[in-house]
Amino acid sequence: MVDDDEVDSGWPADGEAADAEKNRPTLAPPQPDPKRAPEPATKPKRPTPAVLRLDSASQFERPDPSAVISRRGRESLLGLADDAPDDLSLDPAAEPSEALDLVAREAERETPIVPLPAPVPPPPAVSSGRIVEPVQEMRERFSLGDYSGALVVAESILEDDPSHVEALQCETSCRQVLEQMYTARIGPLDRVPFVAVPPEQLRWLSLDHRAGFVLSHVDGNCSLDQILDVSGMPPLDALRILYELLQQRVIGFR
Amino acid sequence: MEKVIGIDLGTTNSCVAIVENGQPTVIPNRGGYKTTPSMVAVTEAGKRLVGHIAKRQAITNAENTVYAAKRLIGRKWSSPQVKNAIATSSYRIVEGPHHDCRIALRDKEFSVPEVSAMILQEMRVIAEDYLGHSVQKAVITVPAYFNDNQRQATKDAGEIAGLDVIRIINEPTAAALAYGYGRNVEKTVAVYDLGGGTFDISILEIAQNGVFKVIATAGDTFLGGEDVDARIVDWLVQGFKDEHQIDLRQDRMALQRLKDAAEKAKCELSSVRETEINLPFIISSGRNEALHLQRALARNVLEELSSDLIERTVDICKQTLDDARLEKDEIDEVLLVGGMTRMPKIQDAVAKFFGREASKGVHPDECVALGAAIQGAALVDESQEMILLDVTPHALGIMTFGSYFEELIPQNTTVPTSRTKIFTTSRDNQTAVKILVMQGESEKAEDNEVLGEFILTGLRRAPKGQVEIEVTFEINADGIVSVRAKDLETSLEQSIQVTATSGLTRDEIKNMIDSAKEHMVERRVSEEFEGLKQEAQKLAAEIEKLFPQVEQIVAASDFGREAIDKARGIVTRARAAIDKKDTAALKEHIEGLSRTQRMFKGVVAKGQ
Repeated sequence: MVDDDEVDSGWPADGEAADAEKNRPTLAPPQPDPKRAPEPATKPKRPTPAVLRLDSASQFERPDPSAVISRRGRESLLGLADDAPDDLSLDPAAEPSEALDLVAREAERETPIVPLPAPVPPPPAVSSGRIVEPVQEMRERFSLGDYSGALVVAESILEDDPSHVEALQCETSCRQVLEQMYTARIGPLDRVPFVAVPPEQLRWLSLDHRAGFVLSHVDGNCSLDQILDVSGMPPLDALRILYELLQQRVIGFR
Repeated sequence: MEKVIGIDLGTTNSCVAIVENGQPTVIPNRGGYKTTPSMVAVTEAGKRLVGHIAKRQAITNAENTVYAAKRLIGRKWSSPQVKNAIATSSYRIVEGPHHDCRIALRDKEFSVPEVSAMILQEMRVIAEDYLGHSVQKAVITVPAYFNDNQRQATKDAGEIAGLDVIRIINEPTAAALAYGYGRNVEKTVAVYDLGGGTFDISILEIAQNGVFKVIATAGDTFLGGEDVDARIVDWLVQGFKDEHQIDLRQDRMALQRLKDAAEKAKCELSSVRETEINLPFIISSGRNEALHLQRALARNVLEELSSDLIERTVDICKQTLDDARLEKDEIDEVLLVGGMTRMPKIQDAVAKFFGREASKGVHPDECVALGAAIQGAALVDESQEMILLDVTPHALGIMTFGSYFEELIPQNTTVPTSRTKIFTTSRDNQTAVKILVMQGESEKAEDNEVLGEFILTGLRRAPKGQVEIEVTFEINADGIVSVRAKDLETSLEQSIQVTATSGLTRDEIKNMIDSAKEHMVERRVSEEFEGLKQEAQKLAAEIEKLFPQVEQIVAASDFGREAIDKARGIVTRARAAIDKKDTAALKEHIEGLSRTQRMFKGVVAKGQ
């Protein structure tokens, strides 16, 4: 019989997440809650990216990671299906490849701006193509540093069970890490962005309505911080959109 | 002489003014706007937003954004106005511990004066930033119909915001004061005030001795510019639905943008005949294709959309004149107050009704705050004659048999004052009477506000009408009302002192003052740090830009290399202080950065 207090879910508690991220190498893989009934063998509601296993060869063949947030990263993060082709992006180098967090990890090797994801532990025995349990998949993705994917899985678990402790902790941790990553790429949040595209050309860009909403707050007076406040979106979503607008050179800084 | 700020604490917008060198002036906020939305919000991260920034997220964070708190201030939980607000507000209104109402924002409950205090604090900061020193004293305006509790609650809000509220004055009176400033006027004036959320019409008599008497006042607390914005939003939503079969109301982000655009278009149409509303990427269709909204709105369409609203204001004007038993031609001047009165159609409607063009002598957005500032300056400057006399905003009296209201002190009586009336018992063998002290103008007691009650016992048993009781109302210079009832036969006496209450205890107010002070200190510290950070970052960037040139010039000498190393050290330490948010250290490093930057500039200039 295991005492409740002794159970370590493996996810940092609220407020401890940032510290926990610094100590990522010692972060134990999440343990299943012994009291919890076995997870139903259902797939997450939203499509999630495949678990990526990094090998050294594929890492070094990727394009400049700082210039890219992939389509898959975007979709996995927000579940927004966007059929528009990526090549509408103004940055010709912006070829989709990986989720931001996975790509970002490479960038951190030279300039560590955000906490490094944990070293990849030996992956659990999951044969390719087999449907994995959502909780297990969430843990795997997190331990592999695929925070976007882990977040999507955590959110899908929470849709079914909003009080799922492990999923809640994972969601918080993923959001914190991803927010740090995007903030590091965008730069100081007290900077005031401006719209770099003439108004008559705006409508020809490939943006969704959420990006349109964030863009409507870019008026040359509001700082990034203020835009995050007024967007009414979770900070991670707003940061992601601002980063993409910056990458596509729709907004800029003077 | 101490500066006194005048604050127009409006339902939708607030404004602050001072008198500088004898000239009343409105102080713009940091964004350069002369009015600040009376909105307060708490973000998901627990950050407090006040003013424009709160307004910009009012729809996407509707549950945690308070607007029109003025409709609730000083009201009891059971009042119909509170019930109405509960039904129409997007934020949560809950019952407070003293039958007052509280507003729930995220995980905390705020009293209404506390929310108003946040707005007042913002106005105070605007004034302090402008003046460069702290401000304590203030005159705040309230609608003429506000009762004592509402006035006291507004005063409490000022106190929580760290202000010494030296006077509360009526909004139409303030507007008339701004109009009459520097002129010797003796007129009957109509003040037509159509703001963002409320409409008020007041008839005032301006006498030469400095008495501004409100003869009649009426209005609609749910009628204003926001209703016009809502009509434009409806028009845009319907047009979009017709074209794309998509209801934009279902998306909060789209709705927020529509509302912002509608207000902007409405303002533009006061000066141009047509304006274009352009909202790219307003919503994504089912096929994940972003759709754009682009529509031209003509002034005549707007006038058509809002014609019934304008008509409603005219009807209220008509009713108010009837109540005041005045004819239109007895009005010497019409003053337009509130941003909505810039709309040409409204100006036409007012001119048509009163049979005269409205005065252009007052600024619609600013005159109330200006009037408050004028009054404030007069109150602290002994050389100036007193401009306004304090008057009772509402009649005071008691409830009599049959639930009627018997007035003892009429509305607009100059204080201090005292009035006495004799009453008799209403039943045979009545040994006690209940004195119910009330405030209001209605003949029916139930329509007026109860201020307090007490019982006079020990009356002689006698047929009704034989025992005489003398009731005396007294208001002292501080506005405190005392009511005394005396059995004229036995000289037995009972009395009560009525003090207006905002629904908060002294302890609660004290705690709120401490909390507001704490918030203010945090805010100032954070602002100071941000300012220093920006300065340091700018200097560091300039120094780093000059490094290659300086290195090239001085690298040959050991002294030069040492100086460059030192400079690098200063930049590194300044950045470390920024990371640690160490304000004191950053201040020191800025001096070092400044010296380095000057030195580098000098080296580069000499080297060229």
